[in-house]
Order: sequence, then structure tokens, then C-alpha cells
Amino acid sequence: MIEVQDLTKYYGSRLAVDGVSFQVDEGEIVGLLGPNGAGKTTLIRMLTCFMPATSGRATVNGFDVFSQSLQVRQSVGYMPESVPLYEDMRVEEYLRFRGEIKGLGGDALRRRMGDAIERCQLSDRRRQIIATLSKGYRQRVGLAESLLGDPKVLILDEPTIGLDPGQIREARRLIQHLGERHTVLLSSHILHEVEQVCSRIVMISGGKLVADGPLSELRTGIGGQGTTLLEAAGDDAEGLKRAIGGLHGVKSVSAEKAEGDYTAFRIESQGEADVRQAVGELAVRRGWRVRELHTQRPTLEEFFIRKTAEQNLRGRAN
Amino acid sequence: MSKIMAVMNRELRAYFYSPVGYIVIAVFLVLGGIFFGLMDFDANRPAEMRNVMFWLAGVLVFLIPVITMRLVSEEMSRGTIESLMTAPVTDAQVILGKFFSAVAFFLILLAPTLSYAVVLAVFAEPDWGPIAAGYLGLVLIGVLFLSIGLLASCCTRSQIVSAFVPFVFLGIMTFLCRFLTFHLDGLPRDLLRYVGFLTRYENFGKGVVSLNDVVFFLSLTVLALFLSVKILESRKWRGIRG
Amino acid sequence: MAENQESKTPEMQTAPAAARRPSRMAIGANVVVASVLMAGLVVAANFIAWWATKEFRLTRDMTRQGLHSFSSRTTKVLDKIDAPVRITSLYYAAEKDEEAALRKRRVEDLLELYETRGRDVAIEAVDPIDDYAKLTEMGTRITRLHADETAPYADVVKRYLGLNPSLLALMESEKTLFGQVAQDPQVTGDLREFVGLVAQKLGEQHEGLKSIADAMRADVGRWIGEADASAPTDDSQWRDMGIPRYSEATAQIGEVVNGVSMLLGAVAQGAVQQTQVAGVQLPDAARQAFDGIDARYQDILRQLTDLAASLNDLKPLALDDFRGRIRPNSLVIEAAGKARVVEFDDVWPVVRSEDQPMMDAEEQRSFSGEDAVTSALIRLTSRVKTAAVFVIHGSAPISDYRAPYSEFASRLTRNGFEIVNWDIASGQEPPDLESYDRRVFVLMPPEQQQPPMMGMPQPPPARPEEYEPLRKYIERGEAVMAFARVSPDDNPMMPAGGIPYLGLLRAYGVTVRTNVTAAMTHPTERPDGKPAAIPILMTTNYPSATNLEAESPIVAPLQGLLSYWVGPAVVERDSQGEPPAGLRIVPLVEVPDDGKSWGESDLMMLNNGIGQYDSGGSDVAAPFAVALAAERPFADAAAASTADTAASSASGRIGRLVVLGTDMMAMDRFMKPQLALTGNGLQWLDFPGNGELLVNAMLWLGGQEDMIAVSSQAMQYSRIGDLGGGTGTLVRWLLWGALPLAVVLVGIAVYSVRVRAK
Repeated sequence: MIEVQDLTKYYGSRLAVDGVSFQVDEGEIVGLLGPNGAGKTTLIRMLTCFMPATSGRATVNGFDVFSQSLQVRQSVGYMPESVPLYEDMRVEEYLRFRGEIKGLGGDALRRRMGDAIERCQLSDRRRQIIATLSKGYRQRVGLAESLLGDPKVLILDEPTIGLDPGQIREARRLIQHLGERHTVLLSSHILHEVEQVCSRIVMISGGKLVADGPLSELRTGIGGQGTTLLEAAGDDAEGLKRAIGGLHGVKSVSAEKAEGDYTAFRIESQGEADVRQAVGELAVRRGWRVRELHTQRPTLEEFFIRKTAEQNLRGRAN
Repeated sequence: MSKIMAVMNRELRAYFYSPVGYIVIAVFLVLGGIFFGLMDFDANRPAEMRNVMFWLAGVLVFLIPVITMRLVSEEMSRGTIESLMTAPVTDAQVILGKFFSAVAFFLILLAPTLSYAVVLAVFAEPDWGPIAAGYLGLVLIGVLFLSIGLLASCCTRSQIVSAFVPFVFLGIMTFLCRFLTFHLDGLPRDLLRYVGFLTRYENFGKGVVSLNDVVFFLSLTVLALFLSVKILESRKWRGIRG
Repeated sequence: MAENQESKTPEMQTAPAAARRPSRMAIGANVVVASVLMAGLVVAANFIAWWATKEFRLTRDMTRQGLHSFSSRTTKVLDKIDAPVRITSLYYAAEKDEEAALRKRRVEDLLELYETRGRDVAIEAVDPIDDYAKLTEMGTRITRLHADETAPYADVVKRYLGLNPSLLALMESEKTLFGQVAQDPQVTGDLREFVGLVAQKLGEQHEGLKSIADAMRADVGRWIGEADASAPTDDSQWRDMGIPRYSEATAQIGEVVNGVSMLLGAVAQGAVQQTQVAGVQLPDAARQAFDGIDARYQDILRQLTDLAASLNDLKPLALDDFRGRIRPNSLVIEAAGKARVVEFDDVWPVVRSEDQPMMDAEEQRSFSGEDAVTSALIRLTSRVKTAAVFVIHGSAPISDYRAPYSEFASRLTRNGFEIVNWDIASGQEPPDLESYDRRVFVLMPPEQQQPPMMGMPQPPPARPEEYEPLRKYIERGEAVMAFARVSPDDNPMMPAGGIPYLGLLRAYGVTVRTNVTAAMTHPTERPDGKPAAIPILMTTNYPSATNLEAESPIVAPLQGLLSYWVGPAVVERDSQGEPPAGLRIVPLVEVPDDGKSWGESDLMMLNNGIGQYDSGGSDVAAPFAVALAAERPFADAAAASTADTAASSASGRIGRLVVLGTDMMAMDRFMKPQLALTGNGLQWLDFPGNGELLVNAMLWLGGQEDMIAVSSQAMQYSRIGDLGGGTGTLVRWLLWGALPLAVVLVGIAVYSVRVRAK
């Protein structure tokens, strides 16, 4: 649905997006992740034909964003960052206007408006003037607006920014729900959110693509995916260490003296393998008293930080 | 067309959703009433609206920029331009919609001045010809001013700038041109008489409509609209390399 | 933009877009070129529109009366003209003379309007200084127009030129003869001197006659078929414009006739004397020359005498006057076989200056070209000769500039009337009254009798019987305009006052109460507490004072035009006797029933500034008319001149009458703008309504209703009527206060409704 090839954008001499390529398939909910200033908004603006790319190419729904701008815009529902709205209008008036400029009219417009209002739970705010709406409701109005055209592709730029936690949860639920019907590309600088909603992540930093893949793949891609910690007391720590090392799925084991007579084992496992049960059983069989056994899953957060750090380092090196 | 109508409809509503619209109309009517009451409406004066129309055209020089300043500049400063221009509407549709809304607002602004004609009809038998011609001229000059104001509004996100620039420009083209025609002679004078907005407009006020003058105002309006579209469009290619 | 770029779609899809995407420079250049093209298109459109507007006159004057093209009078005149009209502008502007250039342009713009509006009007601007060819063309045309007038002149010149060869031959032969005599040795002394002198004089005369004939041929020759190509043309004198100087030629012929006759007479007489003195001693040569001298001269002298008689019969030439008036900055109008010059002062009359009403060094001129040109057109093309017969009683002729009504007369002249004065006190009818197609008799009140003074001779008072000669005209339906004035019979200051001709108006069932004047209470309080009253001062607007139902063509176009009526007499239907059959009376100007006006019969009281309506007495209650128009058929159609088809019908001729309650409104000081000392200091008083009313009434009386219109000078616009008291103020406050306030209130309402809504 979305194909980005080598997309580059300069603002004057400043490089904002640097040769980014990725692809979003139909039905995916893809998160465009990156810290503030990474070029997410620029990228999205190019995809929504608001501004031209300096070079490179992008198609949305099969249409070129430069040469077939109108078709692209017709098939995209876009909610810009910080949701600019005409404050002087009522919710209903605003949606009607937006529906009209999307080429809707008559019954179709009424139906879509009703649908969008319902899906975004705006029914009780229909006649309120937008200026008096809370941030969360404005966000919903923006979302409802982007849904009006029943677009194949939804592009949401920072849909949860500025919302309180409750609202964020709600927005997240809404977006997840949207994924059932639309291809969604949403941008965020908050990993947490993307992690919960998206099936795939495109990560950019400093204008460059740093990662692209399904969540699980990304997880796997972070080497040493699982670290299991065992703290137990017993004899022959070396033997136990060796025995654990021989377990299926264990990559490496290290042992350390902990306080008292306990020893702390650090077991690195491969892939998705869960080694806790096997390790626990082994220890108990060998007569060790187990005090703690748990697995630490590496989070995207760590990955994100690492990637951005790498980026920064590279940038500094350059 | 329906998209133009949609844009026009929303923009026109915007005038009346904000106090600015009413203030502009009220100011216009106060000045119009004063001009009419003092210059045209008096016993034994000719039953005409020539003076009030002449001066109202002058008032438009500073009132029209107030009408047009928000049209695009406000969208730019509020960021709504982004959702507007990413909707499936062409720049021309947006410009025309906004232009027509301003025209409609201007006509609404003008409509109450018809009461002056009614007053004249009560107290005399006004000659409707020059009044109609005067209105035609007022509409034409107003529409030209609007398109110039719109052009300025496309150039900047600052509403102050987009009001001030056309104000200065229109002031030069109307008052200064007219003033200079009295103090120049020969070709420069003829030229200024030809391009001066107010000198052109005066013919209408007298009740003389000529194709020449109508084409003058309409063609310049079209030019200003064309340039507005081009400037709004330029956003889409200025960022390209090379 | 989307459209343009959409069109490129197919190719864009086939190849990698990135590769094909045009560069910023390319697109930018594209846009710049498009914008420049667009601007070029705009310039082109404007140029075409400018050209088309000029070429096809795509200009519409939306004013009802065509104000910015023409006054209604002009359009009516132009609509009526069916002959070709040619207007030549001789306006000239020296370099750097901006004022003159402006005037020239203004005039030529005006003429362009005539050309546009008129059916067959040709205009031409001719440089009066340099364009001798064009001037000559024009002069030639004009001379042709005067062919009838100049025919007797041409005849005389022709006859003279025909005579000239024999005259020359005679001079020649006589000179030779006398020369030979002088050479004779026998001729001595006085005789020789005489003969020599005669020979010399004859020779001189011969030369003179030759050059005179040459000059005449050069000047008028081509007009009488005697062109002399060898004669030098004198084109340095632009004034001649090829217009022959017939009167100069005939004057010269007169001189020649005199000179030659005298010379020949003197020669003959001298010969007789010499013969007598010398007697038989007269030498033979001389005797031969002297003998038969009468016989030799007789024929020529007879012809010269005939010529002299013809010269005496010549009437002054209008063409000469015409030539004299064609000057730079004048207009020449040719139409219907006539031509007129519209002079600079007619087009640019000197006017008062509003700002400096007092004596001012700089002369100010206003533009009244349309009035001047249209008046000239009316006079050129009017086929109906209408006489305005001013019936006066022993006073100066009406158009005398000292007369109090000269402006009225001049307005009538400008509208195509010919002024005839009929001093009815002389007991004689004016000549040629019947030569006019129509007559309107204008009855002016006789001059007011002055109080008897020591040693001052009193002119005899006008008696009604003196006006009896008018009756026959009235009874055959000739139109009459009668001015009345308040002049009580019992006023000791005005003995034998009254208007002597009012009895004639009974033919129309109309009478004037000359002892009742329109009066009104004056707002100022008198010190003695009595109600103040003054003769009514109607600086009126017609709508409030006229009977609008009447829809009189006379006053209908004058709406709101200021006019001035002071103390008019009451004009009313004659209550005595049966009104004539078919009588129709329309009040033109009425004193309204406004609660403060009435007709006061006690003029002494009014003179003292007091008076009030006395219902019991002879006061007249408002409303009443101070001017009216009446129409009635007269049975005796056969007696009437039937040339006038407009006013005659099968049943007889319709007679028309207009009666005005005061003659003061027709006086120059109320017909022309005047500087007057008023309560507010020096002010210009201008009552254009007076002149327009009178001219319209005269046109109506003359059966020329279709010419009734408002002249461009007097009134260009329909005017706002009397606003009365606070109405104007109220309306103003409504417009500049209530209307904007309403808008603001609507705004507040909309705002509050929107905010409250959830």
C-alpha cells in the first residue's frame, strides 16, 4: 500500500530525510518510530503530498505522491501532528466540510459522518464548537475526519501526543480497532505505544532508516534475546554451570558469587526459547536451593536506545 | 465545483463566526452612512450615489485587506493548511473557493448600502442607471481588491503583513495614481489614468460603463487569482532539488 | 497544480518517477513563463478591449438622460435631426499651453459623443493654424451653403468682370489717343498739360483696373466661373479659408465705378472746357480727340451706372459675418443647408467662482459646450419657425440687455424661438407675424407706474382696450403666456395699477387675483406680539408644490429643481360664467396647505410684516395655484393657420395658455446666478428652476412638448426633494447609526447562540 524508495528531503541545506526506503503492506499497522526531529513528520508530509521530496520516490495505494497527488490524497486519511482544526466550527460542521472537500455529498456524507462520529465516540460532542473541545476530543475529531473518506490508508502523525494516560489508552484501542479495516501508518516517538499497537515498525533516526521489520523479528534481531537469572545456593557451582550450559537453547552461562552462600547464574538463551523450567528442575535435582529464577526479556526500548545511540555515535564520528 | 462551493461555504461562515466580519461591515456602513448622509443626501442635491460610491471605493482600500488577510495566512499560521492541502482538492479549487467566499462576503457587505438607494427613491426619483453602473463598478473594483488581497495572503503566514502589503499597494494604485494624474501631463498622465484603479472606477460612478473598464478590472482579477494559485502551488515544487 | 501534473501521469508511471521528475528550476521556469504569458494575455485583453471600445463604441451611458453623454435636450434634438450634420472643431492648443490642450480635448470628446449619438453627424478636428487645405475645404462648403445669398454679389462681380475688357480697352485707346495729342507740336500750354494729365490718369486707371480684376479673379473668380489660374493664391491669410470676399469685391467695384465715372466725366468736362477756352484755335489733333468724346464714353458710363444701381441693391452678406467669426477655438456646425459658428465664449462662458465671489483677477470659464452646440443645432435644423411675441407696453424691447427679462429672451433664442417685440402701446401690429409657423404671445406686465413726481412726465397708463388687438389671436387659438403680478387697484402708490390684459384670459376661464398674494407666517416673533407674516418666499421644489396628478409635461422634468417665487398672485379658475367647453386646467405650481401659508388680501398689513389668515374676509385658503396651464379647443379652425399640425385637430385648434402669478421669477436676477447679500453674507443665489419652467412652458405653448427637457446646464440630475425638518436628520441617523448597529447586534446574537449551544 505504501512504498517508499530512497526518499530524501532537504530543508535548504539541512538533510531531514536521508534516502529512506520501506514498504507497508495492506492491512498492516505500521509504526513509524523515531525520536523528535528524526524526520517522521517530514516523511509523512511527503507521503501525504503536502510537500515534495527532494529526491526519491513514494507511492501510496499505487499512486505516485508527486505526479498523482490528487489520487493519493483521495485514498489517504491523514491526521496531521497536533491536529489542526478550524476552531470556529462545530464538530459536525467541520466534519461536513471535510467530507465535502473529499468529494462526499448527500446520503454518503451523512452515513460516513455518522460512522466516523460513532467510531470515534463523538456523538455527544457533535454540536460543540471545536475551540472548546479538550485535547482528547480534538484528537478524536481529527481521527474521525481522517476516516471520513473511508480511506484505504490511514496516516496518523503522533496521534497520542499531548493526551493524558487514559486518553492514550483509549486512542490506542481505537487505532487497533482501525487496523481491522484500514492500512495504518502511525508515527510516534513513544516506543511503548507503537509496541502495543503495531505489527511492524519502521524506525528512523536522524533522517535515516535504522530498522524495519515485524515486532518479533526486531526482537530477535536484538542479539541475546533472553537473559535468565538464577540465584541458588548449593555445592559444585561449576558443575551446575556446566549442566545448565548443556541445556537446549542456552547459549552461554556465567556465574558469580552473590551475597551469602548464593551464587548468581546468568543464562543467555537463544531466540524465543524459555529455559526457566529446565534450569529450575536441574538445580533442584542437583540439590540446590533456588531463591530466584526469572527471565529478563529485552524491550524495544533498549533496542531503540541502542539504535539511536549508534546513530548518534555514527553521526559524531562523521 | 462542489469542492469550490464547500471551501467557499466554510470560508464565508468563518467570516460570520468571528466578530471581524461584523466589525468590518459595521465600519463600512458607518462610513458609508456618513459619506452618503453628508455628501449625497441633502435637499436639492442630485439624487445620486456618486460621492458615496467614490468614497466607499476608497474605504475598500483599507477594508478589503482586512477581509482577505486571513484567507490563506491564517491557515498557514494555524497549520490548518496542512489538512486542507492534503485533502483531495486542487490549489485552484482552494483559491477559487476562498476568493468566492470573500466575494460573497463583500456582496453581503455591500447589500445594506442598497438602503441608500431606497432612501433616494423615497425622497426623489433617482436615476437608476448610474446607480446600477456605480454598483457594477464598486463590485468590480472590490473583486479586484479582493483578488489582490488574496494574492498577498498566499505569500505570507503573517496576517499583519498580508493586510498591510495590499493596503499599501492598493493605496498607490488608487489614491496616488489619481493624485498624480492631476500633477503630471503627457504620456505619464495618460498612462496613470489608464492603470489607476480609481480613475477607471470613476467612469462607473458617473454612469458610464465601457467594455474597456470592465475588461480592465476582470482581467487583473484573473491575473491575481492565477498568481495566487501559482504561489500556493509553489509549495509543492520549491523543495525539489536541482 | 494538480491538473497540470495529472496530465503527465501516463509517462510517469511507465518510468521511474525519480528519474523523470522535473527539476525545481524547470518547474520554476515553467511557472514564471506561465505567469508572464498570463500577464501578457491580460495586457493583450486590455488592449483589445481598449481598441474595441473605441472602434465599436462599446460604452454605455447608464444614466437615464444620458448625462455623461448628453442631456435629454440634446438627445431629443439629435433624434429629430434627419439631415447630415457636420461639426468642425477649430480648437487649437499651442505647445505647453495645458489649459488650451485640456479645453481642446474636452471639446473634442464632446464632439465625439455627438458623432456617436447622432445618426448622421460627422466631426472633424482641423488645425486652424496650419491646415490650410482643410480650412479651404470647409470654407468652400460654407460658401456653397450661402450660394443663394451671394448670388446677387456674384452677378455684380461677374458683370463687372465682363465689363472690364471693354473698360480696359477704352482706357487703353483713350490713353493712346490723348498721348498722341500730347505729342502733337501744336498742342501747347494748358491744353498740352490737360491732355498729358488725362493720358497719365487714364494709364494709371488702366493699370489699376487690371490689378483689381486680377485680384478679384483670384479671390472670387472660381465662384463665378472666372478663375484665373495665373493669379497668385494668398494662403498666408488663413482667415479667408477660401471663402470669397464678395463684399470687398463689390466695394472695390463701387470704387472703380465711382473712379472711372468721375475720371471719364472729368475728361469729357475738361475737353468741353478746353474747347471753349481755345475756341477755333484748338489744334486739330485735340479737336479730333475731343469730338465725339461723349459718344465714346456713353456706353461704358451707362453700364457703370447700372452696376452702381445693382451695388446699391445688395444686402449685407451673412457670409462675411460668418467668416469674421470663424477663429481658432471656435466650432463650425453645418446642417440642413445652413451653418453656424459656435464661438469660444459660448462654449466656455466666463463664470463666477464659488470660492472668490468678489472681483478676481483670474477669469474662470465653465464648460457649456453641449448647451452651445445643441442650441446651434436646434437653430440650424428647426424647420418650424416659432415666434415668441413679447407684448410690451411702451417699454424697451425685451431682448435689450437693460430690460429686466433679457435672460428669458436669450434662453428662448437658444431654444429656437425667434423674438418679436410688439409694443402694443404703438397701436400697430408687428410686421410679418404671419410669416412664422407658430406664435406664442408673451404678455408682460406694463412697467409699474411710479408715484407722481415733480416734473417727471408720467407715461400713459396701459388701458385694457389697448390689448384688444390680441383678442383675435387668442380666439383663433394662438398660444399665450401671461405674467401677472400683485397690484391692487386701490393702492395709492400704484395708481391705475392692475394688469390690463387679464380680461383676455377669461377665454380660458382663468383669472388672477392681483390683490391677493401668497403669504406665510414667519417664525420670528414680532416685538408687539402679533404674528409675523411675510409674502411667501417659495424657494420651492416642484414636487411639494405641484399637483402631481396633473402630470404636466412642463413641470414633470423639473423635479426638485430650485426655483424662486416671491409673493405671487393667486391664479385660479374664473368663478363667473360658464367655463368654456373642453377646458382643461392644470395647476403648475401650488402653494401647499402646510398650515402656515395662505393668500393674503390685505397687502398693507403684509407690508408691515403682520397679517394672518382671515377666513371671513377675502383671504384665500391654501392650497391654491400661483401658476397654471390651460387648454381648450377653439371652434374656428378655418381662421387658424393650419401649418401647425401638432396643435390642430379636426374639431378645431387647441389653444394653450400659461398664467404665472408673478413676473419677478422671469427677471434676470432670478434667472441667472446672482451674487446677493443675504443674512449669511454674500452668497450666490441660483434658481435654475425658474428658467427651466419658463422655457418648458414656452415649448409646450409652441406645441413642442417633445422638446421639453432639462438642459444640461441647468440641471444634470434628478434632485432630492424637500426633506422637511427632521426627516433628513432622522434618515441620516438611521443610515449611519441604526444600520451598523443592527449589524453589530446580529453579530452578537450569532455569537451568543453559537457559544451557548453544546
